[in-house]
Amino acid sequence: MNLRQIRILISKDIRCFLRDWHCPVMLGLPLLFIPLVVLFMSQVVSSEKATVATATSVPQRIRVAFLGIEKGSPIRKRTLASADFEAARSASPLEDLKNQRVDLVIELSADPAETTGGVKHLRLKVHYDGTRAYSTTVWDRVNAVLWSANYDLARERLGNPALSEASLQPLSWEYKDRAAGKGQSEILIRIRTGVFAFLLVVGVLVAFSLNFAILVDDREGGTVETILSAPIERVDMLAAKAGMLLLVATVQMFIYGLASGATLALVPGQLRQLMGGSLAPGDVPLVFFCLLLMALFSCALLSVLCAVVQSYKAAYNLVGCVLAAQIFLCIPPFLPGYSLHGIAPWVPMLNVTAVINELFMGVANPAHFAAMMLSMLFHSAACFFVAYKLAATEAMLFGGVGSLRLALKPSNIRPQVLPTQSEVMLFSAGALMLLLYLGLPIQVRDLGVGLMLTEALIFLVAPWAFARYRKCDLGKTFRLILPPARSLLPCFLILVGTEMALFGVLLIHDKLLPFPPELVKAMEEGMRSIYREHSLVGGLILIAILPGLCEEFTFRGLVLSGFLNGNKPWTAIIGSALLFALFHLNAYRIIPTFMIGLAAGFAVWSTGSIFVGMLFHALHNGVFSYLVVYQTAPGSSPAGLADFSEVVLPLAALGVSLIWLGGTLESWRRLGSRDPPGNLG
Amino acid sequence: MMAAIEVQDLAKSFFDQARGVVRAVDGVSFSCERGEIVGLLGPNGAGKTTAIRLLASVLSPTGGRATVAGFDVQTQGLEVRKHIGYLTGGTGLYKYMTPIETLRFFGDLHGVPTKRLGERIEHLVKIFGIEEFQNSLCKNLSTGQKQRVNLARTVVHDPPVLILDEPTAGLDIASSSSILDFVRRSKDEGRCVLFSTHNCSEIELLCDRVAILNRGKLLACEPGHELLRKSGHPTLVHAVLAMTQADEPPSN
Repeated sequence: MNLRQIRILISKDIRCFLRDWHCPVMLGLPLLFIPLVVLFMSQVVSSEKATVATATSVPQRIRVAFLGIEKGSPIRKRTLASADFEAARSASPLEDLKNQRVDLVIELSADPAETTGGVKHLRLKVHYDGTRAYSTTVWDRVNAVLWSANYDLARERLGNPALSEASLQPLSWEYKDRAAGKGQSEILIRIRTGVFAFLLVVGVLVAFSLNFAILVDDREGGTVETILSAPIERVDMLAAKAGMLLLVATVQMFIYGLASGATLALVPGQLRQLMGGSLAPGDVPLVFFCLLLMALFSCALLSVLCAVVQSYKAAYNLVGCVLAAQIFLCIPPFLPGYSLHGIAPWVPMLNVTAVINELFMGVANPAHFAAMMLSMLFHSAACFFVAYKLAATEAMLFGGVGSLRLALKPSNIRPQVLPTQSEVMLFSAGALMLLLYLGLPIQVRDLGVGLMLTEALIFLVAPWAFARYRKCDLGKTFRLILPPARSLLPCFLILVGTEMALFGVLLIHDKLLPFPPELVKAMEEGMRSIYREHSLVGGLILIAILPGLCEEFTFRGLVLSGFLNGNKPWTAIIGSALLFALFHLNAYRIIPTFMIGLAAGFAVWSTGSIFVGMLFHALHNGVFSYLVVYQTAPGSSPAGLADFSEVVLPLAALGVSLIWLGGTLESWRRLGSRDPPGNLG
Repeated sequence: MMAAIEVQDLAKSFFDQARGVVRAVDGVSFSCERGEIVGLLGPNGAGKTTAIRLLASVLSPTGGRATVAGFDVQTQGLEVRKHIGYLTGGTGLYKYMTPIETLRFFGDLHGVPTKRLGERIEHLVKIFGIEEFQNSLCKNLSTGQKQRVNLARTVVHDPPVLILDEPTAGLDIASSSSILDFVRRSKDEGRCVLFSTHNCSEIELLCDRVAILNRGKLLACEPGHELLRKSGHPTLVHAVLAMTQADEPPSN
């Protein structure tokens, strides 16, 4: 890159930007927006007559008192078993809550059982102090405890320990605000305490979007070709544009900061405390660092779109949609049930708003902050890298040459047997975007529904529609034929061997890169909740059968066929297994899922039948989840795995032997057949 | 001495889903000396603009070789772009910059030293008659004024080779005339000019040689009077029409 040329281009952009009449409006927007927010908030506060002068945050270790719940009750045991809670000795818990001697009171209502249409109900009340700032983390802990105690408590109260879970309605509970003196939804509490943070985030995103509009006018004025005929590289041009976008976004963000700071300094103390929640002065730079990361990510997105769609104007329209989607993604962290565990670090905008929320609540979590920062930097770097690669292509400038638009036109698509590798990569990128920005947020809200929609739409309907749109031979692309009998034995040996070898790999993995207990707990809890909500059969359908059917359709169907089209079989199998591992969106699951992908890929390629892969995948998921949910204590997997090293290692050695035996049998089989049915490569 | 523009079997193909492999430029060879104007003529879609973009190293060739000012367009793109002035009818100006700022911006991009750039801008403002609107924003200029600024921008770094793609498209007679004057002056100053247009009278008026392109192929590259003599047609328009029609594939 030529920094001198980039500097000249940025100077030009600054000059043009400052002369655009939209510029002062956009830059001055926060000076109007922030005071307006404060004005409206002050009206809301005065109408509620809420006491906010004493607003303080709840400590990390929550003092909890119980009302109407005996000693030895499951809910009491489970609550106090968690290191996050401590028991508060209190004769009158509600009075102590008022005096802030306890942080929460959990009460079982006087009428513990009632029946509606043959289904038993139980009701809990969680009393909290509305004048205090409860963090997202606190609510998550409370929810987790109540959820896990749900059925035990129900059985105890109904006096029938053998009561089946299917006959019970999941326990519902309500939250009671001591200050307001009435039941109040958790959503209101969160939104009220986080409203300023939320508006700050949304305001900054809208400002980015509006400012970008001013900067994307180049190509439409016919100036890009002029610039490219000067001694400058395409990449320099793109870097300069990205640099300018980042500069404007940063300036805009600091104007927001100044406007917010000045407003907060001027408003009365009560309102200031309500707006700022428990934001410590030392955390203010962290909030702006978060916003800066949002700016970086937004610029990276715009850069890659500029390079892809050949027109800054079209790129802006697209990025406008992406920014709008991000604004929606900013909402969930302020809603109940949101958690940063497990998969969320892969969804950058969700995390940055969640971390900002935590900062405003005064419960900053360094691990969350680090995960969010890494996530944002990773996504931004990935976008910039893609833009850098695309910038070197002529398609950036000349829509008519290798035009994506023309290539996508149905009348221009010729029938083909298998998809090409580039088509498969394009599909994978799209599917990954759908998974990150649509599938995961739904899963965060409701795991069962999210899983079902993700599997069915992204991994089953989407590849089928894509292959049909590209006019591929669906039967050959997805290998919808039964496997030949002679290939079944070697396949069976390899698949069983892989399962056994996986135990050894997991053991080594756990020694070298230990599975975080939080992650294991979140995974186990996710599986348990699915089995609990949907029964054993429903759980198996969601966890085993649906992923086996749908994911194989994508990875061993479309993806493997595309990779085999022009590559050697092993290259294709490894490529499809890597993508399969990547789509699980979990650094700790890359190696095991890669192994599963390798084995399934080999089985499908070797037999020419997708059904072998589906069966293997479904069996693996089903057995694994059944063992986790029904055969282990919560959170015990890593330690348990290490304890069984005497069993696991010989098992793994046996697995490797089976793989070797299966491979040998397979090679003998293929010696007798020059053209194995599955080998389309 | 090496020609200012040397083109040998230059080719550019691209894949189009509807038409398959399209040879936009197909084995074109010609040269252009210093102090010479070569006109590029041909119907729409003949490959003129693609050929010009290849020579400006804005596109990369898929076959053959071309050098501009002694530099290879494929491997020495930056050097090529330092030594050419490139203008197309479609190129625009930054609407929030004045003509003076535009000239300074492109001079900076070409690495012209500050003092020399100031003198050069002063000179260009005079010869292109930009004084009266030199401090207006470009968005407020007329089409003719914009094209004058564009021409000044093209030569702000005093390049030895000019590549002009339909520079008079959409201009009135007075503006066209001033541009043609400039092209003629450039030739007198020893520059090599490659001039693409649809207007045969401009070619007859200006060019030392005429290169006729059709469907990506070079049909001829000769002085205008030679073309007329060989074809037996009274005007260049008739000669070009006859040549391109003869080159068309037989219809079904």
